[in-house]
Amino acid sequence: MNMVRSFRLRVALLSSAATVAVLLLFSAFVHERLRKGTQHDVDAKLDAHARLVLAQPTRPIVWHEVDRRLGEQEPGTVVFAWMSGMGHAYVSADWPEAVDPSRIAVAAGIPRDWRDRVMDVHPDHLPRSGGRERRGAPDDGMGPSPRPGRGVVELENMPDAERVPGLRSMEDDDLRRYGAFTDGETTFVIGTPTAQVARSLAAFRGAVAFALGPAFALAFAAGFIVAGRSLRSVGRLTDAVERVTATGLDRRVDAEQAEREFRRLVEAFNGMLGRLERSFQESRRFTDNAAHEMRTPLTILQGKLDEAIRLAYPGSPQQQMFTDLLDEVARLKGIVDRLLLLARSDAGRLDLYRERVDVSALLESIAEDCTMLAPHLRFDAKVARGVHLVCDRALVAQVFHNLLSNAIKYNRREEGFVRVELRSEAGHVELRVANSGRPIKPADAERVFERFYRADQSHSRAIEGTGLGLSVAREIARAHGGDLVLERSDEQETAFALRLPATDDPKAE
Amino acid sequence: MKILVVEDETRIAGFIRNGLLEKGFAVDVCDNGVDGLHQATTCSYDALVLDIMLPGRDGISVLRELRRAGNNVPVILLTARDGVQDRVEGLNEGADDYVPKPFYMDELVARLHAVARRNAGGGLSVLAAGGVVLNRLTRDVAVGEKKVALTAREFNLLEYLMRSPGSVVTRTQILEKVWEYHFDPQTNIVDVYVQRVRARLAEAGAKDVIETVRGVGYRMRADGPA
Repeated sequence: MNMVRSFRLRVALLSSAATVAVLLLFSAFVHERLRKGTQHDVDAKLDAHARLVLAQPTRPIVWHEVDRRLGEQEPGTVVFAWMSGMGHAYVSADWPEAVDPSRIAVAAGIPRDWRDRVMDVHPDHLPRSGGRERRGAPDDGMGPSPRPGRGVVELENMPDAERVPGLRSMEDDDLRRYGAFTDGETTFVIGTPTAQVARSLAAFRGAVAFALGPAFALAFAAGFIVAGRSLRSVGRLTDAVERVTATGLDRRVDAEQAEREFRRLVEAFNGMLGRLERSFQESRRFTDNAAHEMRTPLTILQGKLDEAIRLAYPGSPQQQMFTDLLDEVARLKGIVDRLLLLARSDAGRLDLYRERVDVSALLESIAEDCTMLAPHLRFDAKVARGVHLVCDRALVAQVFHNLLSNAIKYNRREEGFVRVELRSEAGHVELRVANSGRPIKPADAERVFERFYRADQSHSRAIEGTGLGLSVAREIARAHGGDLVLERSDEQETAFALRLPATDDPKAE
Repeated sequence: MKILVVEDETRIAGFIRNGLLEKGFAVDVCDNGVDGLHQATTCSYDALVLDIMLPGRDGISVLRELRRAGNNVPVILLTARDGVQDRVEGLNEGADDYVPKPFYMDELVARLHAVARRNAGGGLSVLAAGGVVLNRLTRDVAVGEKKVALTAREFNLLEYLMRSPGSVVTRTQILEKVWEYHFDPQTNIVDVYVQRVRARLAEAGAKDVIETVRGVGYRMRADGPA
């Protein structure tokens, strides 16, 4: 399956298939012409034989003499003749038993009443009286005695054949081609050997079969090379596109350098880049403006409340009210920050402030807070020591905090547990946070990462949060080239796994 | 100390001005970049609070111009945008610090003190309130002669409270500044830590120096116990 996915291989296969098909068609054509041509030659030979027979001056024809002369001309020639009005038939010694001369004669269009009688004369019914002579005489050609036939066969009530001059039919077996001839008086069938023809045709077929393999291989190689060459242009184009996407959306691929056939592709790609760049700029402007527009009133609100708290009489109802309001501002600030983070991540520009971070220490300090926040839970932390990552400290801390506070929030009220495990493996760091509690339904497993989604709609009021935490955490993980997944959720535990690639960036040391 | 605030949003400029005046700073305010640059080059200031998004001339360009002219006045940038780009660009152009909006006044004041101190070479590295002495550089805390052993987080919490003795800070503010959590407000963690710090200080003989302001937060007692 995958093999056919390769364009190059497909082209090679296709070209070799086409070559083989052409070769086969051509060979079939040549074979047919060859066969027809040789058949024509054989027919001409049969004609010549027949003419020779009919040119015999004596009547009735001395068939064994004719047989001998034909045999001299071409060894293997056989003859079967009905001697009209004499009730005899002459059969060559070599006449093959499987060939029925009367059938050939019938095919030659001998009239029915005559034919019916001929039908009776099947070589199987012929007495083998000439066997002895046949053994002695046939092919030395030196003996003066005429080459005897299989014998002269008695034929009952053999009528005169009607005059149907020149009619003939052909039949082939493996060795010979037979022709039936009649001039009305004399009807005979001559078989002339075709083994030579069959051999040459077989040789031709053999040659073709032999050529097929190399032709296939050659065409495959040629197709492979040609496809590779044409793909080289595509490769160059791909390189150019990669350079563009790596260096920035404001770059363009040079359409002038591309081959004519690829110019349209390059132009389409450049057009797409242009649209992308515009939409990226727009979304960048949007998030910048949104950030500014939302933070300015928040800054005013927070600043004024901060001021009011400082100016109010300590512990007064006003000061308490301002404090509550300030907490709400902080909550709103948190939501705005997360939404902006998601917006920037959607726009593909979640900038990371990368530095070398001791994630073990970071995790431990957050885990320590969590144990204090939820003394009723059993904490079990297996944190590998001294794990360092080059990452955005604030964002990774946010992910850790989100996972741990979820593990506390969505836990059992009594006898619950939280298990934290930080491992450093080849190439990446994995944090697994598991907790007891109501399992997340399989249908909701992906939805917990959706924005503003709450796994348990009916209890959403009871548990604080924005419903953005996990989606933000996942975006942060992905911006770092890692991922956050729900590993399992059943009656035993609900576990999230965070994976971050360990990228060693020496300049962050 | 004389501070120039360049901020176009008058209400933000207003509470910054009030907050700084409260802490005893002298404050000038400009509402655009062109005036801000002019003011900064013609008068002498101990520090600048510079908004990045300004009409006329943006904060980064004002900063660049100041530094090119050889003016090394400490500059704190304010921005509502949160791109790392802004932060990096600002610091590269010679800003001394960077405060993202929204911010609390005590944070801005602390940063102003810090940059001014850096500029003046020394100063307020030791805080004292309610008989407790805290050294920011050595990270030592002592009550009288007695040393108080604190964890890093406990130290940070105490240091934050001691920045402004006598004035109240809310739990959310503490959480944001000491824990640097800008997410889920889980303010009872603050209570837990305040109890611990109180216990440590009480062991060393400084009782009731951290006061609870009901429904608001905590405050460091301004005067030492009688």
